Amino acid sequence: MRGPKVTRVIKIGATKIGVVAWWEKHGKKVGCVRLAVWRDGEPAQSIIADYNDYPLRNKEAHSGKLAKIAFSLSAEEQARRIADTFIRRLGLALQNSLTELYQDFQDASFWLNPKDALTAACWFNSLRRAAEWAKLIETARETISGELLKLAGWTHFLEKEREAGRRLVVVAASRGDEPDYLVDLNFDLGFADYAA
Amino acid sequence: MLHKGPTVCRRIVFPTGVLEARARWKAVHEKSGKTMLRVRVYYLDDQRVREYPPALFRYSPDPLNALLFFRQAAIEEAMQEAIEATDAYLIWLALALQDESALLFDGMTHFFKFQSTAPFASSMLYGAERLGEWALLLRVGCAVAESEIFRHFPEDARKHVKELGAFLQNWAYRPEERVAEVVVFKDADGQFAIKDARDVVRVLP
Repeated sequence: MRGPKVTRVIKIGATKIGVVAWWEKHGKKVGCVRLAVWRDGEPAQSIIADYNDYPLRNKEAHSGKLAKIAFSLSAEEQARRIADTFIRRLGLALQNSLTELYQDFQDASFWLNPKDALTAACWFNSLRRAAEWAKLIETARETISGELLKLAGWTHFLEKEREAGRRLVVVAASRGDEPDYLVDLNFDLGFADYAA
Repeated sequence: MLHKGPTVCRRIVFPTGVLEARARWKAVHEKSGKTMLRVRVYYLDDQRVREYPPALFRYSPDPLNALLFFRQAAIEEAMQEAIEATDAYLIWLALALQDESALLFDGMTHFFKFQSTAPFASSMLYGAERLGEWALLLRVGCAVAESEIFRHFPEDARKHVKELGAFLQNWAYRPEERVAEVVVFKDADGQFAIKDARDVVRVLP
C-alpha cells in the first residue's frame, strides 16, 4: 500500500538535488514515510523518516469513493510534512543554526532524550533514525556548499551559504501545502563583486 | 610506517553466548588514522557468529606522532586507542543495562558532539551519525545480555541484568587489575554469578 509521491527539487549551479517522500505500508507492519534524496538523477538510499498509520485510519473512517480520497489526501499530507521537514533542516544546517536544528531533532518523532523513550531499545532506535536523517542532510549540505564555493568563491561563501539556508527555511514554511515545487538557489550570487 | 595497531578484545561470556567487542587503530592511506569498534556475537550452542557494521570511535594521529620516536611507542599508543574504544563500549553498555539512560545520553552526546554547542552544523550532523552507529552496537549488546540472562536465570532476571551492568561499570574503573573477559555463569548452587575470567575455574558448560 503506497501513497502519492511528493517531490521537492533544489537547483544550485548545474546540480539538482531531489527530495522524494511517500507513505507506505507493508503487511501488518506499522505504516511509514520514506524519504529519498537524489543528486543529478543518481539514485540514493531511502530512509524511513517517520512511522504512522494515520492515512490508513483516515481511510477506514470513510466509505466508498470518499475512503480513497481521504487516504490519498492524508498520505500526501504525511509525505509533504516529511519532505518539508528535510528542506527546513537542510536550511538550518546551511545557516549553522544549531540550537534550532537540535531542537528540531528533539521535537520530531525521535526520542533523543532517553526520558522520553519508553525503553532503551526504543531510544537506541531513535538515535539510529536521527543518524540516518543527519547523513542525508549532511550529503545535501555538502553538495550545496561545494556548488556555492564554485559559484561564489571563498570571499562570499559563508554569507551566501547562510542566505541559501534562510531561503530554504522560508520556502519550506510557505510552500508546505504544494505537492511538488522547485527552489532555485541560483539567486544573486555576487559574481560581479567576485570578479571585481 | 605503522598501518595497523594490535586488536584489543573484551568479552562477556554467557553460558551459551559470547559478546565480543574488538577495536583496532588503523592508518588509512597516509591519513591521520582512526579507531574502529566491531561487535561480534558467538552463539555457542549452534556454533554461529554474527558480526555487525563497525562503528567509528574517533580519528587519532597519536600513534603516528609516536612513530617519530620509535616503533614500540607507536604500537603502545595504537593499543591505548583500541583499549579506550572497547572500554567506552563496555562502560556505555553498563549504563544501558542499569537503565542509567540520562548518564549514558550525556556521555554519548558529549563524546560524539551531537549537541547544539558543536562549532558547525557539519560536526553536529557527523556526531549524530556516529551516535547512531554506536546505538546499534549498544542495542545488540543489551539484547544479547538480556536474552542470555532471561534464558538461563529467569528468576530475578531483571535484577541480574542490572548486576551485570554494575559489575561492568565497576570493572571499568579498575584499569590496573581488569582482564579481558567477564564471565557470567551458574555457581555451585546454580545461582547467578559474575567474575573476571581469571577467577573462574570452570568457564563454560
